[in-house]
Amino acid sequence: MTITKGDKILIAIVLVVNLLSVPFIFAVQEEGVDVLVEADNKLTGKYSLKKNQLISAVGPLGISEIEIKDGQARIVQSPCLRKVCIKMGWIKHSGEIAACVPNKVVVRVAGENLNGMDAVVG
Amino acid sequence: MNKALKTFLIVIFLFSVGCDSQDVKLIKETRFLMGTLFDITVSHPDVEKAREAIDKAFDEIQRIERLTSNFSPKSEVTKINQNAGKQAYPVSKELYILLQKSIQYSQLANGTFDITIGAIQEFWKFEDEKGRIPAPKTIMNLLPLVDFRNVSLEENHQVRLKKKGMKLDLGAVAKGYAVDRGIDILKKHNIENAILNGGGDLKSIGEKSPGVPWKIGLRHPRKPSDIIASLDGKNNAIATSGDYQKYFVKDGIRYHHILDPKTGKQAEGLQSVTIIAKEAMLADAMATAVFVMGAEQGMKFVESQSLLEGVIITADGKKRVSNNLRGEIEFHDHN
Amino acid sequence: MIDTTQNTRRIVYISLLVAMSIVLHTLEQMIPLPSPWIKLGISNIATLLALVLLGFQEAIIVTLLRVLIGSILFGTFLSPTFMLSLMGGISSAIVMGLFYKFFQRYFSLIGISLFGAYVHTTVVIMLVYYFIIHHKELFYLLPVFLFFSAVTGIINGVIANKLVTKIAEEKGLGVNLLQKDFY
Repeated sequence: MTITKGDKILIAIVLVVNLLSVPFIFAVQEEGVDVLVEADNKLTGKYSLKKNQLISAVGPLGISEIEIKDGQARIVQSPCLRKVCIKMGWIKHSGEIAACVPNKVVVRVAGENLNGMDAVVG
Repeated sequence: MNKALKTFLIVIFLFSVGCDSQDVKLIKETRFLMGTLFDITVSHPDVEKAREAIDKAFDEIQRIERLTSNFSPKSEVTKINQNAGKQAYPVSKELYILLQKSIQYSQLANGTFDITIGAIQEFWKFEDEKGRIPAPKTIMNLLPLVDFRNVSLEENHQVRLKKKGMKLDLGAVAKGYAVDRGIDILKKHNIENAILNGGGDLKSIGEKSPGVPWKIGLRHPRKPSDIIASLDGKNNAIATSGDYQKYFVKDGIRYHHILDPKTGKQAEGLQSVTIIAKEAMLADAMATAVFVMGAEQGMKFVESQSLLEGVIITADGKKRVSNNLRGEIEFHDHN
Repeated sequence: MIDTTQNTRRIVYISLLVAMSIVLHTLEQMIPLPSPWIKLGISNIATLLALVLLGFQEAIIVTLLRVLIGSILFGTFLSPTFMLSLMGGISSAIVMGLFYKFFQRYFSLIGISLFGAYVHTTVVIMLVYYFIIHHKELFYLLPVFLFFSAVTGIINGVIANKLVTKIAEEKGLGVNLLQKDFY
């Protein structure tokens, strides 16, 4: 037997469907739910990405301001010198981070599960 | 050829998409209470009913906050403290029983857990970023005020602190108690599958979905966004006391909030203690107690108590796990 | 009247194919895979051969026997893995048989094998969902599993094609006449 036209069409369809489903999976999996703000390695608050709000995080250099808008978060103001954190821009996917290292402020997007956990003690 | 092609398309599509089951939903809510974040996660097919139950549970936690607070001028605990060395103060039956239990825990733990730690605790000012380090003389003067045996539980629900200056601080049991009560409320509202997590003390009932247990992670003491271990929720309570939860740093030294009632200073030697018990209040109190006991005595104590299981992480990062817990817990960092 | 010679031939061929299937299955076990439930399925080459050379029934028998004997050999008899293999294998074999019977004109063994692989994987994932991991998140893995099945499905098909062509050449027959020749 040799490969037929039908085979080739089938393979093409399978490939296409498989490729199409991949971004769908990532999009569904990665959407962030909350924003965790840490100052000096301590968790100072957990905020919903769904609510537009402004948050202040206090670090050794001063106050870093975090904005949550339209399901995304970013550091908009920070007392650091180079403003690298502000240049990091908007984050929205689970696991993404924006951080002002000099001011010890970390903003991270958490998905439904923290490392796949339903709850964390400690 | 076209008809066949259409059939194949449908068949492939069906196979690629798969089925989805909507019978169980996860409803989550977070609120800031008792100075920390309380998360309630419920697994239930009816979102409305779940939200109602969660609301009632949070109400209950708020009520417990008011009951156990030693800040609010109107709270019963503050009134007891104000009357220290003077007279007995009548309290609600609930608080009376709470205090009774706390004293029993102190007896069980040989004084390593003590709700009269208040006098010294407030001097350290852990809620302040800068904190305050008491002078050794101050501590010496305050130590006599720390002794659970000087709490007199009298008839008609009266409570008397025998020495002037004594102060009750329910911080080591209040959250645990709130968690227990919160779960009771959820159960009363026909919720069978939930996790109530209050700043490091949690209790779980049921499972996430049929056949899938709740997965509970233990925070890494030195990497706060990482998990050091995980285990399945088995209708029990888990509480952690750690040196990273509330602390301040002065001159390069970390001063954390877990004090040894016998010295008035930080309990040394451990990074964190996690206790598993049937009730969150017990787990909460024992986590503090075992932390003060240290690695050796602490683990001995846990093993001697059939109602307790635990994990101790020492200052150098080494882990100790109680025997019955060994098969149930999974470590994520390999040390 | 049952022709004893033909019956014997049939049993011998089936046995040979089952043996071949088990050997392939064993070889495949030595290859490490990310998931415990999805297998490469190169033993399906035997099923395909059975389908072309012997027929629908025999293909099912070969699959059944392979799963049964394989599980006994590996000590997984009546285990969940065994159930998954069985259900996946049988449904896969049935679908391949039907597609071969009706759509032979459009597909070579490559297409047939691809269908079989997809059916096998899908059936296994559904069973895993209902009986083991009742978790929506499982379906996020579906594209990955299907991708791997498709790859082996195609490879199996290519190999099966070549084998069948070889056999047909040696007999000097067209492939579709092989079954008739046998019986």
